[in-house]
Amino acid sequence: MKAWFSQHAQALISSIGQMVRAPAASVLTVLVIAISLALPLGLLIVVKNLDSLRANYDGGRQVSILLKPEYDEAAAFDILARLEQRPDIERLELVSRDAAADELRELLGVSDVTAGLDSNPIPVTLIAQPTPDWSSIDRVTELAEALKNLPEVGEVILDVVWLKRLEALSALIKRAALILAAVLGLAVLLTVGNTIRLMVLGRAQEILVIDRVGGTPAFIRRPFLWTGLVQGLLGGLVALGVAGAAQYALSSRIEALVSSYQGGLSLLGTGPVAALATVATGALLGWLASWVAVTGHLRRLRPR
Amino acid sequence: MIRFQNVYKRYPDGGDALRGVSFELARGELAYLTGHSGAGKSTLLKLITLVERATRGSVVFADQDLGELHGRQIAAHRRRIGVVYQDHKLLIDKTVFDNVALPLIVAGMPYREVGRRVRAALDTVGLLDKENSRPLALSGGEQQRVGIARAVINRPELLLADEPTGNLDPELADEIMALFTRLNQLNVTVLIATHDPRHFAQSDVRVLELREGLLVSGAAQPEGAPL
Repeated sequence: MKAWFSQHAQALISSIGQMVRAPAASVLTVLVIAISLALPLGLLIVVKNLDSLRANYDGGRQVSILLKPEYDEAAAFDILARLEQRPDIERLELVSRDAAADELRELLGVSDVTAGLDSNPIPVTLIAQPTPDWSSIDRVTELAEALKNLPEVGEVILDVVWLKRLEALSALIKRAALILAAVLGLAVLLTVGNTIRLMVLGRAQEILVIDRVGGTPAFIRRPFLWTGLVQGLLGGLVALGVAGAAQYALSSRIEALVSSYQGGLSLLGTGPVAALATVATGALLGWLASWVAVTGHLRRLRPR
Repeated sequence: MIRFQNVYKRYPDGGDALRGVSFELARGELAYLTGHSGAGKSTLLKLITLVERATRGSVVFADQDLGELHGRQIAAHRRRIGVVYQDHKLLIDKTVFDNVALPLIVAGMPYREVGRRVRAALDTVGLLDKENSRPLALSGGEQQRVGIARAVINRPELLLADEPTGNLDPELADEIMALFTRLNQLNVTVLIATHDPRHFAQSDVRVLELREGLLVSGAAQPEGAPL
């Protein structure tokens, strides 16, 4: 076991030495890996923020219940008390006819919106906020349908258009990120594989001699696998740095844009799980590419 | 130690390198393998080191049929054999020490033990003072002695040499051959492939002669050969 660790330590030191001796090639490979990982990572961060925006967009999840004209505020309180018993509603707010008229007056900028009318025609309104379990578009729509069937309810208004748009956009970007990740993952495999293949060709004589004196394929592969793994690991770390820098550069602009619509949003970053996954993916891709490149060469050394 | 039984080797281009070769080499024996260029000498050695496989027949080493070995078993088999090449196959960017140490490193030997064994091997071939030199700084004879030190460092059961004196002048060649004889006296089985009859003309050692892939003489073990 000690010998195994010792051989791995030697292989790691040897691979780092090889990379240091060819700095330009090593840096270029690490940058290609970093860019290939940073692009899908960036898109996944966008998706994460869109999902967060959608989850925090209360307007889209509120259900406005307009009572029939014959129901006044007193009757509305009875209905509100009844609806508060429902497990799918978190809270309810009553908007009186007068309050609604005031709001409309403020919105339209006119002094009296009911001038010339016998009475205020605006119905008493209840605004329902569903529980988090009932916040998805499907469930809110289902809730709205249920409320619409109540005998006291004249109309139910649900503004899910924005939510649907955000959800569609989020799904589209998520799909694009996955496709991009697959294509760029392949690019990483080819880039690292080609770098390692060139290294293998440069050390063909050494590999041949090690093979002839009894080196196992695992022994021969080891330093190359470490090289691929270290390059992938570094590429993953640089990708995180690139994503972090992009987020820092864009956050103030995006927050200003979002706040103009809704009042405030803090931009979400990579997060520890995605960060670990990015570095691990880089390392895994580097290792895999090296394995394929070296194994292809070793196959030619097998006895025929 | 080695048994060839009706061994044929045909290369993909259709050339028959060996045709029905059968012989046995006893443990502790020293033998020469001779024949003109292309007679099949190198192919025969490659079958023993499992660089190539027999097309037909069987090659047995220490009671193990080599046709049955795969993957890691091949590596383990090669660690039991030392090989000296005509072109030395030394790594020019590594020191003499590192070149000789390679089989021990590959075998996972602790570094302290590696140092002791490498210096002992270099002492045997008279190159102890060259351990930090690079191969290109050495003469042809010295390079070949480094190759021999590397071949015997693992204390192999069998030492194979493929035209080990091909690039050396006669004086150096005799020196290298004397080294093989000394190693054989330490009970290492030695098989030397050479097309130069000068090396065995004056001695009574066993000579296996190949001609166009056929073993034409030396197949029978001489009386009194070590068992």
